[in-house]
Amino acid sequence: MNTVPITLRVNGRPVAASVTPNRPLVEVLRDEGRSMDVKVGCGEGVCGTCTVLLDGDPINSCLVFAVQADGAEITTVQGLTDPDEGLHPLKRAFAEHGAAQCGFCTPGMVLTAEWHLRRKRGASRDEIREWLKGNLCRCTGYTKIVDAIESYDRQMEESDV
Amino acid sequence: MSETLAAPRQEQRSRRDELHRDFVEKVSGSLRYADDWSMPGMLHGVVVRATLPSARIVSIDTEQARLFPGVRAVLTAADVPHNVASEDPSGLGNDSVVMPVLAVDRVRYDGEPLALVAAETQEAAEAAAQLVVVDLEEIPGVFSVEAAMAPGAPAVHANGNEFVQWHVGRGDPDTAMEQAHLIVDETYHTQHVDHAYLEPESGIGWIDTDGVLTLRVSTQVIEHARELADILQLPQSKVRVIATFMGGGFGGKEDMTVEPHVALLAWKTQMPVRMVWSRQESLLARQKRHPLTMRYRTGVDASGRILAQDITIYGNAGAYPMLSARVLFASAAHACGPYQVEDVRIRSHAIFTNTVPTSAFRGFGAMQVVFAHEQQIEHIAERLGLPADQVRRINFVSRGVRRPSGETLDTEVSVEDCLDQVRSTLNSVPAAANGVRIGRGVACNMHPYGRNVFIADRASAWMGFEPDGTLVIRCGVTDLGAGQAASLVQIASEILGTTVGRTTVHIGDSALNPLAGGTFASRQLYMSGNAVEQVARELRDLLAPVAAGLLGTAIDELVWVDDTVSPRTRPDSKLELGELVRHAEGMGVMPYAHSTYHAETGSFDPKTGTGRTAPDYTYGAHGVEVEVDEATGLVKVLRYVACHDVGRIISRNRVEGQIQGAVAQGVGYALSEDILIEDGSNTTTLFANYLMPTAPQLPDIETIVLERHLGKGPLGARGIGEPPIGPVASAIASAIHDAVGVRLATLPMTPERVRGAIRANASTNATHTDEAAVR
Amino acid sequence: MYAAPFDYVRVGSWADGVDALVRHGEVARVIAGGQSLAPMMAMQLVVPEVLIDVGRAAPREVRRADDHVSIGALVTHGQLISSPVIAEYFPVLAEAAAVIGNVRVRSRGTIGGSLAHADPSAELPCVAVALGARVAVVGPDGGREIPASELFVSHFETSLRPGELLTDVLVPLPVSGTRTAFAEFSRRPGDYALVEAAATLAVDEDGAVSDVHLVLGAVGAVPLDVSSFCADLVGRVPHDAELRQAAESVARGAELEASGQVSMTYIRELVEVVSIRALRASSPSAMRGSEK
Repeated sequence: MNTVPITLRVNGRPVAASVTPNRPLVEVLRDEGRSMDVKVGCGEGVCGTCTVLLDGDPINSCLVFAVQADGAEITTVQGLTDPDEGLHPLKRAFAEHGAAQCGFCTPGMVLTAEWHLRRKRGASRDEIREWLKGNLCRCTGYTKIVDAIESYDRQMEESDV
Repeated sequence: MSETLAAPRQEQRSRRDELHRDFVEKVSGSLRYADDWSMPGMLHGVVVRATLPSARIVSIDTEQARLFPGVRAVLTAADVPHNVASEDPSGLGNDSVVMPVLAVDRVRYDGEPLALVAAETQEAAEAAAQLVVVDLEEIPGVFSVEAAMAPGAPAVHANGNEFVQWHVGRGDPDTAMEQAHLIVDETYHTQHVDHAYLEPESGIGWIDTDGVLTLRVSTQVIEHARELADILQLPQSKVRVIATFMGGGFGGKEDMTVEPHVALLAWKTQMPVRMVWSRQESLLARQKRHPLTMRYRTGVDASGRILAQDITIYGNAGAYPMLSARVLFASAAHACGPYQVEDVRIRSHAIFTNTVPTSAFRGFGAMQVVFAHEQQIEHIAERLGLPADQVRRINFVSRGVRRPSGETLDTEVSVEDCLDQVRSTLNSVPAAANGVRIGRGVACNMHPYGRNVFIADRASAWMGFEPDGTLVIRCGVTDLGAGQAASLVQIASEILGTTVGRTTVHIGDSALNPLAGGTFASRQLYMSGNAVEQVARELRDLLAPVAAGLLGTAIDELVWVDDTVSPRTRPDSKLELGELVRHAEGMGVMPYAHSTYHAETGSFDPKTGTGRTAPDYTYGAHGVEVEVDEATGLVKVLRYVACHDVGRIISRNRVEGQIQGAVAQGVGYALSEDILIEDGSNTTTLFANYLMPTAPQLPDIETIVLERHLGKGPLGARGIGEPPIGPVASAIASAIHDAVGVRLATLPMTPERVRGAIRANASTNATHTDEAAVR
Repeated sequence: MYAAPFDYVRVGSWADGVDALVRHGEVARVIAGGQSLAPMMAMQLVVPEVLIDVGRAAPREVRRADDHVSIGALVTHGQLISSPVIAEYFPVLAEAAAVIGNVRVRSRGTIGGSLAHADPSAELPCVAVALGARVAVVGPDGGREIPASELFVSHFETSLRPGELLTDVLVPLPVSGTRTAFAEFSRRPGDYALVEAAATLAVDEDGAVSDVHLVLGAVGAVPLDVSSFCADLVGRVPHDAELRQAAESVARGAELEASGQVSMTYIRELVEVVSIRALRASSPSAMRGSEK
């Protein structure tokens, strides 16, 4: 089987790999990119655990072949950093609100929430729930996840003033 | 203050929950789950599964698969030294039925493991698995409990299709039933559901440098190391299981999953092997929750007091026992719920069928029955024209009351307090509009925590200080995301005044940590928590004389807080724990201890159906408000209130999280989740078709956490992992009835079923109206 | 869960795409966003030997032309939702796009891919037919246009000829006084719908219906144009009773395909509900009257 050379930037770091075309992006991110924070929960694009940002937009990294992403800028949850704090404040909010139980959905949840928060401030709890429609959580019942996102949003609004 | 009320919290407990390391790692994405580990030279394992539910295995030809490039091993049943994945131990001496690791001669369910492949890449392993030629000859099977019980039905196992029958009861229900003013006779049906934790079953195994077969795996039970040794015919000391933090478990990682496969492949190849089940094979073939058919005959007097109850429960065990004996025992033992019944007969049966096996799942047989016992209350109230709450209240159990098995409740009961809390939180009903009707319902339950007392459960822990005063806890507990590890740190801090940041807890390693038993049966806080509380007290007792001597005070004057110890009257004369420890060691007092907590024990006689069952219970009440779209049958949960008395809160965030998560699972169970099986084959094998609730489908789940009556866990805590999943389905069923006047007896209450009931109800009413008009 | 091995060809233009498609023939499949194709490949339900990636073949543009709006085939569902041109002329496309899958699917999934995939449960084919859209295709023999109503042939089958690629979706500008709506019923938000309906309803100056289109999705092999059952609306002011009557006749008369998931009785009930919801939402609000 022929392989195709590709280059990605993962959290700002170049990752070069030679891949067979049938390898899903998530596998290349985990194996060659060492981004173990990207999880595989279903392989169908349903659960949201493999969420990453591709050129800024959230995608199912299980439903994109790595060759399709050649040249793309990828952000995983570990790429969400805050230069001032050790922990990105949205992640801190998740931790403080107990919004992670088993934690397997958390990277996808955080990335999805952050993408929406960059587009809209002051969302209602119902809107936040709508944002998370495609990210399944089996542990929390979502209440504390919404709490965390809402509290981060408020905190950011206050700091904007 | 009554002696049963929880003691006031210590000052340190009022502080905000400290950020435990598990939370920080999870939000950062740095926590390593089982599938995130790899080893040099690692192989990838894949399972070859049956494609028919009932068949004779004519042959399995592995030749082509073996020749596929990169393949290192292809194993079948003949390669398994002792081909027994489990023999079911109920603790009550029923016959065991063997489940093989790899099927021999006979396929008993669709998806049953037949062969294993290990190859250098995952892709090669998958490709080679497709080259294993399996010749199956289909033979008649039984795909439902009814079919399995029919005369002349094909036998799933040699001894017939009834795996086990339990009886629990006392008094004379037949005579008492004759005295009844009203007998309510209803039958309820529940479905197969999947745990659907987001982390698929996964693990890696290798032969470590000490020659020990070592597995790092996502499991609730590291004690499976011993079963693995038996399978491989190795000394039990030669197998070690390290549990990773799980990406969810809910009972689905209580039985072994990938462990025997990984162990066999690693042992045969002498190379590290990783195996990860795909979501689709997990949905296809891993065990589900037992579907139950529950017939309840309840005799009441005119006031609604329950005089007699006769309950028959059939559970679909699937093709192998797994934990069915225990699950159906729990269904029987807890079938009456939090209601007093003097004359009662309960029979439960676990029936083999050629369908996917069923086993442990949060609630473990004691959650399905809540749907039945709560709907019985609703039926009784409706037919007597009484408020359902009134019927509940006159029948609630209380301390000292005897349960169906004859045992006595020996701690305080707070189910009525919970009901009061829920009722006062749910207020007036908003008006219906636009073809959408609003209704509400409540449901109550009591759920056991801890294993049945005849199992003589125990948990051990080790605790010690380093010379710098930091604390180390070793305990074989596994953490499925509920904060089992962090809770131990919290409990230690309550006794020793240690802080979270200066405590390290080592969990889930069968070789290096004292065994604590698995994380299931809402037992882990109760068992390991008590073990840790006990060993912390022992450690404090060891060090206290040294501290008292150094501080010139009496032992009972010592205050342990913030990694220091000081005399109560002289808080400024602090001794750092490190200093204390160094002094103690200098005096030959070693700053560590090991302790085993033994749960209370008792016996149950399966012949008479009487004796002791669970050590204690957690009580609760839930209230829900739903809207029902009459045109489509779609039910939306608008509001949810859940109240439980946990005795003592160890971590508020985590208690609330357990309640909220259980309610969400309960909502899926009530309304949408269903593993559909057609002619024995599971047709719900895509995550896209398994309808677990998403964020927009759920409201904020309001929790009311009471600390009213102390339980038997550490510091008086009661278990909370399972109890909150029980009441959900019944509360929702009652709310649907309140909204649109139909009562469903079959779960899940899908839009089609609700709409069908509304349609049937409308045509019945129309007929009645017509008849009235004629008259 | 690996797709079977395949060769990968990325093309930089539609013309190159057509060449590649002609060169590789039937063993090739075209991928754009891949949100439907990739899972089918991972489950080996589809096993192409060559995958032609057209994802970078053309800019992802929505352009207003004289009498229509041209939507590039590679415009994503997410772009449909955020495009000001779509919002101005065809808010129903944005409405329908917003209920597709989840945000990740909408980042990658494209309108051209959705139409070419011809999944009868998909939202955009249903809306495209209701809006009277045409698709522009290029192929070895040059370009042509196909009305959306003729594009869909059966389950996952279109009238595209070998070597043809769908390049643009051309949606005629609505006559003034036209309102559009999309409604669907799915058991869980974002999942495949059991029934979908797209409606366009034009009223004249007197408030009477001058034109009505109602198209159902997910209940047949192709989007089902059931406008004929609503013909009685034409010339009348669309009060709620009239709309309900139309929905009832759709539910009674339309030839529906059994889904296997739920009963036909229920499907007909849902068709009525979804039809009335779409019709109401596309009627001038002042005339909607009280809802049931």
